[in-house]
Amino acid sequence: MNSILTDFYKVAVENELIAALGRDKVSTSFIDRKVYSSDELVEWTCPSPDGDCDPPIADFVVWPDTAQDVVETIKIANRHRVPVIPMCGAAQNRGSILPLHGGIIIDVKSLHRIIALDTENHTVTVQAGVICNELEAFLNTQGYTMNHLPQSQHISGIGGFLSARSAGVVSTKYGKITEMVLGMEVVLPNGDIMRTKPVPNSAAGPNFNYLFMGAEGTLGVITEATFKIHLLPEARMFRSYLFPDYPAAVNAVRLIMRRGVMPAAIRISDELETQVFHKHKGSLMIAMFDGFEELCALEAKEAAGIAASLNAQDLGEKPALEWWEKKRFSVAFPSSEHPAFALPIPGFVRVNGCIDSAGSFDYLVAVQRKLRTLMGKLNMFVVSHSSHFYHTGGMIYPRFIGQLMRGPGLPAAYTEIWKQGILLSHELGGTINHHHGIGLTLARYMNLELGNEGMENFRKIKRAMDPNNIMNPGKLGL
Amino acid sequence: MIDIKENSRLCSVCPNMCRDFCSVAGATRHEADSPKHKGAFVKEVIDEKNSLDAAMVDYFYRCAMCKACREACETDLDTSELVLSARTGVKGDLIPSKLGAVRENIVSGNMYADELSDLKSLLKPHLAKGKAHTLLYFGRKLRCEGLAAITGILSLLDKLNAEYSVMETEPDTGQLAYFLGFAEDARALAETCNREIEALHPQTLVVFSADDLRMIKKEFTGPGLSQTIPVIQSVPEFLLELINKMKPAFKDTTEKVSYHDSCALGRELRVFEAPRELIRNVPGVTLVEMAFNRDQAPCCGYGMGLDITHPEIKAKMAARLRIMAMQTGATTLVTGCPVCSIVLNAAAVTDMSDQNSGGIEIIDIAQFLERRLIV
Ligand SMILES: Cc1cc2nc3c(=O)[nH]c(=O)nc-3n(C[C@H](O)[C@H](O)[C@H](O)COP(=O)(O)OP(=O)(O)OC[C@H]3O[C@@H](n4cnc5c(N)ncnc54)[C@H](O)[C@@H]3O)c2cc1C
Ligand code: SF4
Ligand code: SF4
Repeated sequence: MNSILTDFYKVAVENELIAALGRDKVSTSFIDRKVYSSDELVEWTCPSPDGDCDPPIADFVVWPDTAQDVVETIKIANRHRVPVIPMCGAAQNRGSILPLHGGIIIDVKSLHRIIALDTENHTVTVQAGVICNELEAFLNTQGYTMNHLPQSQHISGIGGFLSARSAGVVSTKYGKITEMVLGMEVVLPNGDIMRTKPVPNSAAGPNFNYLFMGAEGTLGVITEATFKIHLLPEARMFRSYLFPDYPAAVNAVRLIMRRGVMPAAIRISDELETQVFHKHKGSLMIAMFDGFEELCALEAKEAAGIAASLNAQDLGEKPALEWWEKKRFSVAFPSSEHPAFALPIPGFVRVNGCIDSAGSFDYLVAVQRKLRTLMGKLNMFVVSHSSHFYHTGGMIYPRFIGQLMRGPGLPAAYTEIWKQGILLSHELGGTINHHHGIGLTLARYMNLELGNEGMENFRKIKRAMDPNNIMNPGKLGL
Repeated sequence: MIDIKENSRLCSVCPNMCRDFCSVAGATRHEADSPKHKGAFVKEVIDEKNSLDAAMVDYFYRCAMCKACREACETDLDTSELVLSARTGVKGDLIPSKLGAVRENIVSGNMYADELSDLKSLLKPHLAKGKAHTLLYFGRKLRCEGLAAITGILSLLDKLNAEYSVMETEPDTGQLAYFLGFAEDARALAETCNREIEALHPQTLVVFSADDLRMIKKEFTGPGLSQTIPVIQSVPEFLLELINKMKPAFKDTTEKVSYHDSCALGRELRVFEAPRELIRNVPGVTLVEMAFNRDQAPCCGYGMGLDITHPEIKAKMAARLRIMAMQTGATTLVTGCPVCSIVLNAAAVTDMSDQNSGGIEIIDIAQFLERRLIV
């Protein structure tokens, strides 16, 4: 797809960007533009038999140092009607940062200052490009943690987490990023800077943080945020139980939540994941309790009682500890044997994805069963786990992996997988996404989520805030 | 032998799992600097989807050879090996002109500026004459830029009544040539270096610059010094033995001190504990760790020649590390290798970032101990 800019305009915009930001913060090099325009979605929806499809390419990449640099960039973009795509860790994939019509990629990773640690009031304020692990490593040296620990903690950053409403592995106790943030600084699509107050709570009108969280860069650029922090836990206690099947394990979690017990992490594998990855028959639950010793012991005891009442086998701490210490990240590293990364059969392409959704406890069981049948018909191998729970239900993470034939039929075959999965989640009453966000892959299903009226109002908000439609155009179904 | 084709393919499809640890990408914040994309560039060249041009070649030199990516990679892939093989394969006009000049200087022994004039008199009393039981090797960069570091270690050793000798002129270990991809030059230099050092028949060789030690102990693959010299040590290891033996007294201070693990001493040679023990030995010192330490410590910016090929990246790397050190609340940052302190101290001058306005003293381990020793 070509840029909407003529060569003449490109030079004009480049000159203005350089004048406003400085030479070293702006790149028009082909390597940068190409690297910043890459996404697996391009290969997985490429109709060419050799898999060679050119991605849409950005015209400029900028690395702002300050919110003011972002303001200048957005003003220039508005003047010339140039698309602006904010990017942070680039780990969301799903085409969310693809510059569909060219334009300017703002890599917010260059906004990487930790601005203030306030241990008296338990907050930390950071620029939006700080990578989660950088922040966590710093907080840990001070005896603190943010308790936002997603599998992508080494690759994703603050701006991306907020924009895609991310969830870490200890979200059951500490919440998603949406429950951790207090205040934000956002550069709006007209170049104004808006701040929300970093207060513990408020009743002064709507909570505007929620306008930008999940907006995936369509309503402005988040440049700074203040979060709650916690002391590093004095103790962590690990427990593992084997249930006869996934519904029994889900029921156990329901009873644990109903009892008011709050494990930091609780993760249940469906029967296939339990068999393939944990070499057990049934449904494995691993739980981690954190805090001070007595609290962990009491919560673990209560959970153990519930597990025993449902005839679960107590596997001790080993599987849970191993997961926490070793397996949490390892599945994301490629190897020649990894089912998602091994060389495909010639003429095929390996595809994978996760149709993560959320709903009631009933929903989890229903969607897990039905999705497996559906995906089986599409020749996709699918394993599921549930690892974020709430008082009324939880998340399910069905990961599909398979090979599709390259060529003209590929885009439709790939799209069909998502279509079937998303329609099923929606029909069974779940949200179409729990924490990976929408991007391009799910954009066409946004009206299922919001309804026609909801979508229309969303469009009105977008038009009012961004009349020139410069902010990440083409995403979120807008 | 690594499988370059498969490794580059795997890195190219990786979700960027080691980028946060990459010394260069962590500092520049540029996606193209990440190990994943370095792998992707190599793959494109192998698959003939892209030819090597000057712009891409430049990316192969935007790497510190620090191997932080390898440590972070749970499948043990090593992007620096891909980069090194790409560098070695760069020939003729594609060799960046700046690098061509660097190579000439390395080969002719003119790398860095001239040796410091004050050095001669400083070294004179300790020159090896025919034989050297304990030989202290400084390395080219230190002999040209490290007067304070050399003065510091010699003073410390003298105060501890240590026996040692130094060479009047030092041969090049070939480390810079090796990591910049001039494999044949590196080999020739290393062989000469080995011969000259072996001629002194040392029983112990103490190497001050960690990257020279890495070259001698790890990278040189032929029959090298490791076969002929019984003990080859880093300065922290040597000093720890000496101090344990001599048990000198140190001034009682109340200070917070942090320590930076150099890539070569730490990740490559696994010398993590000796410098920390030395620091803890000083009464009243609290050792505070930086956010990224040990296997995760980023390179200071020296980057096996990166400081020469890309000084602007070096400045960013050094500034990032200084900020990380300051975040610990320490008043002193100790480095195991003096080259790191030279690079980090220069960053204070070249980087004008507001967060980099000073506030921390950066010195190598020998100077740190020397200043606190009670004579
Ligand atoms: C291996 C792997 C594991 C993962 N595990 C998890 C997990 O455990 N939990 C989880 O929640 N997610 C996970 N993800 C998904 C990903 O980490 C999240 O979607 C994350 O929120 C994206 O953050 P990012 O920094 O990578 O953002 P990016 O991918 O760079 O951007 C995401 C979206 O946000 C927008 N955006 C980015 N920065 C800004 C900004 N400053 N202002 C406005 N808009 C912005 C972009 O335009 C884009 O639309 C995983 C991904 C991978 C590859
Ligand atoms: S070295 Fe490992 S973690 Fe890094 S890009 Fe390659 S495969 Fe990924
Ligand atoms: S060797 Fe160091 S600088 Fe080079 S890619 Fe790996 S981590 Fe980055």
